Amino acid sequence: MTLLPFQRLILDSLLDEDALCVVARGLGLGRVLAELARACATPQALVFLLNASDADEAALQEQLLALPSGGADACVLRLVRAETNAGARAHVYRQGGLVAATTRILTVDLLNGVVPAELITGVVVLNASRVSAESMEAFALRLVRLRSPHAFVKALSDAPEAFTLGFAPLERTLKALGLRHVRLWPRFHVAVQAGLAAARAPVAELRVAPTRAMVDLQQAALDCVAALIAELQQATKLLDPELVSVEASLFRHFDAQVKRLLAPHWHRLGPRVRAMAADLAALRRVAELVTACDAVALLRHLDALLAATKASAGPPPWLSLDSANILYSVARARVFASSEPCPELAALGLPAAIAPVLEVPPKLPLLARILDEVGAARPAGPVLVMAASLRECRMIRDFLASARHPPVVLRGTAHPRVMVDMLRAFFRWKARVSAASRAPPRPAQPAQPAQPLARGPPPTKRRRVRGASAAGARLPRAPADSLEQETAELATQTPAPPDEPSASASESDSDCASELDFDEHFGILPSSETVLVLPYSALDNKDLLPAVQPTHIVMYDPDPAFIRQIELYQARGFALNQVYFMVYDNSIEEQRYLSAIRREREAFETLIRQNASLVIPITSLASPVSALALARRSQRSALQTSVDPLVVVDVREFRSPLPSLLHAAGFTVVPRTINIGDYVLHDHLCVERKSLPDLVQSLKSGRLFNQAEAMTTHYTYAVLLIEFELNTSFSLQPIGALSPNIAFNSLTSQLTLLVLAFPRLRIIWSSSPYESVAIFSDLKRDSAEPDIDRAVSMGQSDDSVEKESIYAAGPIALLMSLPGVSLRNYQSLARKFSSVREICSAPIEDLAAVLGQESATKLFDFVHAKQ
Amino acid sequence: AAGSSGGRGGSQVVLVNELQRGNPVLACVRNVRWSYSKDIVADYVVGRTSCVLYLSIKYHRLHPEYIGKRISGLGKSFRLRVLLINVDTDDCKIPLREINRIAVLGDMTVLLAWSLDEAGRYIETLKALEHRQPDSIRERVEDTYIARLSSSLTSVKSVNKTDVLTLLSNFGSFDGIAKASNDELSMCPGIGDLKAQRVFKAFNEPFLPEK
Repeated sequence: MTLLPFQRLILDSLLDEDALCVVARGLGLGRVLAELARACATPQALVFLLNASDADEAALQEQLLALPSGGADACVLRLVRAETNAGARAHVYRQGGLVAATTRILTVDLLNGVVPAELITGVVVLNASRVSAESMEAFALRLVRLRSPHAFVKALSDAPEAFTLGFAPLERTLKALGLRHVRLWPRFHVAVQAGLAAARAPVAELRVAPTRAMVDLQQAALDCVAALIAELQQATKLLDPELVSVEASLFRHFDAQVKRLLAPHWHRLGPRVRAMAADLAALRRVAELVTACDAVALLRHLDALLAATKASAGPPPWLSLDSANILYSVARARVFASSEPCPELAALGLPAAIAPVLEVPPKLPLLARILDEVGAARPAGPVLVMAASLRECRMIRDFLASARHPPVVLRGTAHPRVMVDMLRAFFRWKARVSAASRAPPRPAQPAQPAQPLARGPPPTKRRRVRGASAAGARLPRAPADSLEQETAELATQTPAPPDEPSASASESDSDCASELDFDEHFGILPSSETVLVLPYSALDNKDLLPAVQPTHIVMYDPDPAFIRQIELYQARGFALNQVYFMVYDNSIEEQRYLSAIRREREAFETLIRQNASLVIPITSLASPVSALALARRSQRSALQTSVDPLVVVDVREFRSPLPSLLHAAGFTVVPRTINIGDYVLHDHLCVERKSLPDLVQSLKSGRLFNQAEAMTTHYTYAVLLIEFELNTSFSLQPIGALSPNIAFNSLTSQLTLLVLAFPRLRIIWSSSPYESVAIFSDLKRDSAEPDIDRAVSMGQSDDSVEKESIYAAGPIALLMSLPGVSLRNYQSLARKFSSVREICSAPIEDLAAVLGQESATKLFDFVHAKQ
Repeated sequence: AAGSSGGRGGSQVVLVNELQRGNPVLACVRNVRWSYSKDIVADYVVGRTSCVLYLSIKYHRLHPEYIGKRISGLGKSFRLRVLLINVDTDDCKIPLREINRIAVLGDMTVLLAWSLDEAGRYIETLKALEHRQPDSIRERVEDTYIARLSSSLTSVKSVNKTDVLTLLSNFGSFDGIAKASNDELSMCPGIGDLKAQRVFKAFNEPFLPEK
């Protein structure tokens, strides 16, 4: 399994020099990385892999294990995580080789001198597009460079599009990484072209006509999106029409784009605007799902969407649009219609008063035909079917399996069995949801009817329309809403199917086929060995194709990166008989595919241009605030003091950019686990930093109250630092947001209460992390250095020190969030039970043995409460 | 909106220093009564032991020495000494840096307001909430089932309130969600493969990872 010639070129250029290497998706960057890792990670070396996702790490590990090793010193990836304890970490560092480390932990270890600096050979940064001047990776790289100036730094990315957003992103990323060179490897690179020009299997492009209903649904969803964009623009004037348009909404990055434009003002936007932004994302996704899932699943998604938004904030404004009604009525009409009761249906566990329509996605029967054809030819290898998501894969498998059964005839029409199963599951789900939403009498909060979106043309009259509707007592229910209600009623009339054991038992097989059904499918499919259905995500960075060695590939959904994988596969000399490429004609799916390819090409072209005119002065490589640091240092050398000012920082604070910036400004940053405050500047001054969202949240939850209490008891100067984020507007609330009367739950009132309760708490306001650094320098002036041990021991009680290091963060966070579980008892729980799931299935006596009766009852009741 | 006079001790009135006459912020103090007083050192006395000094950034830039004098004039008679800053200019970085430093050393609590309305609101609120217990910012348990379930499940990264409702409607209870397989989770509308995996891990991964 050698590299292809152009992959070898990429590798050589990486080995030659420190550079940022941007490779088009699907060109096997994972393979190159594996070879790079093997080449540079000998036991004598210590190479860090930064910014890798779990999936990246797993894929790399797998590839490394598969590589032919030169004996006992096979190269493996060692992991260093937050939960790896300090001793084990030091051991891993000393062992050398390739270490994938959580950046935060590595930074802390570098600062504390746990990493033997003289051993560091270099650093490889993955997903380089996500590194910015404020990110942890930049901090870690700076530390590595300081401590071992000869270490190499190589950065990889396979997301060229990410380098085209914002202002001079390429230059800024390079600065953050401290690199001066970029190497670009687009698909149209000469070497890549030459390498992939080899044998090409015939590709059959199958353009499938979408059904009438699908076309209508897409249009309706896009209309809703358009209306929401217009309304959002009206309300905020923040969206750049160039970037936020219906065309742009076809792509996944659209959501991020909208977020990016709104972010600077987010904390000042009203709940209505926020809800609209969320709805926009949801509806955009609906447009996508029209082709991506079957009729029943789409209807279910729409109903769930409606139920969820209604439950949280009343019916959403877009529901009153005509397009929304079309969306709901068409989505329902292609699943079932109302009709005279028919006992035959009831016997099958369906509501009697419906006429099932059950539109089958047109791609499915076509796929079945292809597979039959291919199967008849008795291929030498397996057939691979690739789809966009796990959900789709499951749908495909279910459909193929049910094709072996005789169809179910309902009211004279034959339907594939799987569709009928799905319909039954749908009504069962619907019945459960509507029972749930009816059961608990909702607490007082009357569902405030949200103001509906302006309908139709005259936008100038919008205000009046709105005023009128606000004056009118209650809105008439939107047609879509009543459709949903009607379906719910139908569902509650559904008889329990006779062949099903009991209602409670059927609860577990939530949606589609049950576990048992699933096995059965595989039993029946004689080709289960030879037909493989996988999602594209299964092969992120993995060398899947050579492992499977398919002779036929069906791309159920279009995916540009996978096409390249097929090219690579063939270029490596594997035989491939036929590739089928399915796409819905004139659909969002098709547009998205085409412009994904275009976007990538344009991104590379932009990058090539930028690269040609790139100017990176050598001095700017050092740090973002180096000028300040230099000034400080010269000032201090004049005063004959040689030591940098020292700050003790809580290790949990290393998620924020401030420690990095402090270090860049010439502070000695000492990471420790401290219980009181986030930063200790000197023995009498500690600082709790709160970003705006944190401030709002922690005021509400009471956390800040406790923290303020602890700080003011232990320190003479207890400081609350309210820090605004970079690029957000510097002001607490929007102009005109103050209510005429004093509202006791407003942010102003809560801050005032805090101030009244803790007169000795000092509040510092900072417009950005950079500003915080300047303020810290001011506060620190002329004061003695803090005693590190004292800072650590402050407010320390029992064994709470270790909690950060030994437990898995995710499960512990979930555990701590449960009623009856507190700081005092969670450790005993975590020792007694292995996982949250185990706690859920534990009998109450076992819980009581650990928690005591009262807390155990709380926990048990919460876990087992039925809606 | 001047109020009647009252004793300085337990009065319901904000006392205003004569020096503040003409300050437009007074027009924004509407929800509590206030009156001028000759014998106070602070700009506003908003409670038995709490007072406010008012400063606009523009003024501070013209007279940087002013606020230091006022602070030292306050003496030791107040427990809570608020320095209320009206941020009335965009170019406020340097002055704010100074103010932050002066305030920490001078035992002042800084509150920033970005408009006269907001400044007036702080003065009002300080008075109105003088005797109120800080219950609304104390830790307390939300009591509806949905609220609890939300606060619990949203501790998993990227899970939002909509997802919580989706999960609940699909699996019926917390226990039901705990027993769901990765596959079943990803079948829920709106829950992508990645999110499903995160939820699954939070429920099924051991608390103590094996080394």
